Amino acid sequence: MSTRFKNDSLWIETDTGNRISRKATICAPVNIVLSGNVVIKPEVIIRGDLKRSGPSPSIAMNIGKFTFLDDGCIVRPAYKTYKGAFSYYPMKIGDYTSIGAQTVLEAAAVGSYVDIGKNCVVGRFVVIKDCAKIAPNSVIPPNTVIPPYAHFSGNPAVQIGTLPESTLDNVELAMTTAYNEFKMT
Amino acid sequence: MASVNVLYQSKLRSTLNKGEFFPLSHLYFCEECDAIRCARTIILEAVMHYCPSCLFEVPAASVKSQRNRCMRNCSSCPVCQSTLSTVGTGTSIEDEHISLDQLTGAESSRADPPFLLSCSCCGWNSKSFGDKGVFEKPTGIGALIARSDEREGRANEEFEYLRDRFDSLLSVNGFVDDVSIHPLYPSHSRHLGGDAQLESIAEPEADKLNILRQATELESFSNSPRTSYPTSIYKHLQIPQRVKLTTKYSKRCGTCRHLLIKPDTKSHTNHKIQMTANSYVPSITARIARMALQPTGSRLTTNGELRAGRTYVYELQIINPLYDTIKIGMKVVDQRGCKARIDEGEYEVGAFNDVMEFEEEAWVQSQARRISEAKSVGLVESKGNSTRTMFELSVDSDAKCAELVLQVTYTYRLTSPPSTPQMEEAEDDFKDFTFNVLLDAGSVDSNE
Repeated sequence: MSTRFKNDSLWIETDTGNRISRKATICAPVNIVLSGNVVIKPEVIIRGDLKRSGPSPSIAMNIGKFTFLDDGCIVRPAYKTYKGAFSYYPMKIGDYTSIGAQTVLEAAAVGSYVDIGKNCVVGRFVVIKDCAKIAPNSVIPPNTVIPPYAHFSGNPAVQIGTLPESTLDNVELAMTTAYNEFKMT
Repeated sequence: MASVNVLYQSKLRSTLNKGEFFPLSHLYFCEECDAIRCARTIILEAVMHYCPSCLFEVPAASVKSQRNRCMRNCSSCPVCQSTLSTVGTGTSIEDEHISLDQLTGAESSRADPPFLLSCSCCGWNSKSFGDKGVFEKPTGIGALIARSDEREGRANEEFEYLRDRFDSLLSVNGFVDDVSIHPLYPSHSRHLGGDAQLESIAEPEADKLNILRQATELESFSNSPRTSYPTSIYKHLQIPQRVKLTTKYSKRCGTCRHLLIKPDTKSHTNHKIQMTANSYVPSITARIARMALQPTGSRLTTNGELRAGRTYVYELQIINPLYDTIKIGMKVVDQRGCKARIDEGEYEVGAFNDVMEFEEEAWVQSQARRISEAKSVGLVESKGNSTRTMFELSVDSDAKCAELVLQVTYTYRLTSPPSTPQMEEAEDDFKDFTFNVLLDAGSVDSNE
């Protein structure tokens, strides 16, 4: 199979600094907004095709700047039947957020400076507020709200601690450093 | 890959007990006392209460009457503690494909009465109560639960349970009086004088807390909703619990009572005052250097542990958070299970510059000074506000773990506004600050 691109490398870098692996599966990129400096690693699946039903064009996924989607994570919009009508609901992911490897994310909203560990399952319509942290291998039941600066862990996940006030600065520094040191290999 | 835990001591002290070191992110800095403060040397003050589920603020006046739980619509599953959702099971929209029994999941809500509470984690729903578990309105369910709690005498159950446990515990161990002088519970009659007094209180207090923790598993009746009620085997017959409120605290220095943390009441993320140590004290990170720089034979074990009797080269990165250049020097004050060889000379670390990130890469390049790649001890690179140095760590042949305590001193310029306009040529005022850091290089594999 021949590729459409002259540059046959494994990564695409856009003008706004998004770095997207060619091995990632991105469905309907038309419905996905990347704010810049987003890193999408190999085997990631983003379901932009699952947008709100109806003829009008709509955005299925909004991803903030300096956000990392690690190897093999699956990001897809949540769905429900409301008043008898089935629909998908758009997902918004904030800035400086990282989503761990093999994690399945079906949240309604993920805030900024959030750290989601690897192998997590984040249920439908979960709302994760800013500066929260989710330990690896956690399962967040649907419709949960995770307050700011909370540390969640377990199956079903419960709050196990509170993060310090310096979390915001530390995460921002860590994510920008990770982006600058990231090598597209 | 063998990363090194770097922990900071909140107070310069000769005793280098590992329990007195904390990660930098957990520390605060009091400008008045010119000292680092840790969780034990600050005072907490409740500022506001809010529900962690609906994030609505609850006025302090009604927290007590609502028994510190959300009065709105937030409740948690009696079986698995996850949040319950309100589901409308009405039948105003006919759909013969879905039987009414299936209409209990949140994803199939009809938004029509009757409403019930449903757990999307374990499948529990409030139908098991019959009429009591079915509601006519989707709002104010918390108030209904609270009312039935009061009526059936469950409201005080948790308090009675906790009081019973604490009563027996505190009377046996004689800790009752000590609660009043704990730094977390400020007693207004007693004003703490100096640092020394605070320390003298904090130290035995921590020991006692440790005894308490070990003796009784204090965590088991902490704030977790999982254990706050007596557990019952008839869990499916228990009623949903209202969600407990979360408290936001402002934090004060234990000595001078200046505010270190003041939350912003309008935003859940920002703080009006935020004196965290990471914006005052240089951050130090350490990691093992590239394999090519290691002496021959110094490889890690397959699970990333150090080998006894070998020498490793580490890279230490110092990042300056201040807007001024600092001079930094460090010396070894204690080492356990290893011998360290570090450069005790003074380095200069550049000023932190917000704008730099957006400037041309070339500017950073010109600032970068690569000093020497080959040497294993001393300055390697200084670039922007970060400096990298190398040091050597020789692990003892009978060591179980390798720990190193460094005393770091840095000199910075005092930023005081000139008192008179003529004083432009005034001499700069420099100031020293010294703190201890503990580098924990992990456990040592001595099997070899």
